[in-house]
Amino acid sequence: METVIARFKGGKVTIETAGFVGTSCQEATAALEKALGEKTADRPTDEAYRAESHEIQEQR
Amino acid sequence: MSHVADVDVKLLDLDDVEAAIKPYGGTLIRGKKTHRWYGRFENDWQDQRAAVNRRDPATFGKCDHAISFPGINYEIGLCRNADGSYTPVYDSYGNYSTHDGQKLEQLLGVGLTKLVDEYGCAVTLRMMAMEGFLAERVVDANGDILAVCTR
Repeated sequence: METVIARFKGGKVTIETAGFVGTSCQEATAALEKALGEKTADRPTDEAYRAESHEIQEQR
Repeated sequence: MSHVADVDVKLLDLDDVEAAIKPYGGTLIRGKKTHRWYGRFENDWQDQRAAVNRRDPATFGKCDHAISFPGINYEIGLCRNADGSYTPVYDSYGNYSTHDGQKLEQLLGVGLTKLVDEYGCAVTLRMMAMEGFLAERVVDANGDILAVCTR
């Protein structure tokens, strides 16, 4: 299941995604982030790091 | 993959502003060029929050659109910026009779941050529904507003 959770506080929002394949999470939220205002930060989650690590291990 | 993005919310869409204020009984009056406030600049508040630190007092009470709420005499003004976004402005003075700006803060928070949060949530619910997500507004135990979207 793909999940997008946007938490609003003090006129700012943190958008967190989970369950997406590849970079599709960024595609899913790109238009939303633009519609909401000015993006100030963007970082992969721990889940993304784990997935990347797994991919590297499989390549070895 | 998953990611986290931080965004400073800007009021850009008047339809979403209407959706944001609807649960509070608010009405967006499009094209209303003034909003109700104290009515004249007294220059008697030196706090960092004072609007005079950011806006020309000659513009006080002027706006491009106004928002009114039942039972509150003072109104919020939406002032259009050069980038097309709107800054909500209001007078926080008073909590009695016709001077009741404090009621706006009681309803939507100091600085009207709750208005911006509700606006952002309205945008998110609308856009994510268009992407096929089941999107709902949730208020957590801390009072934070969340848009929870799944598909």
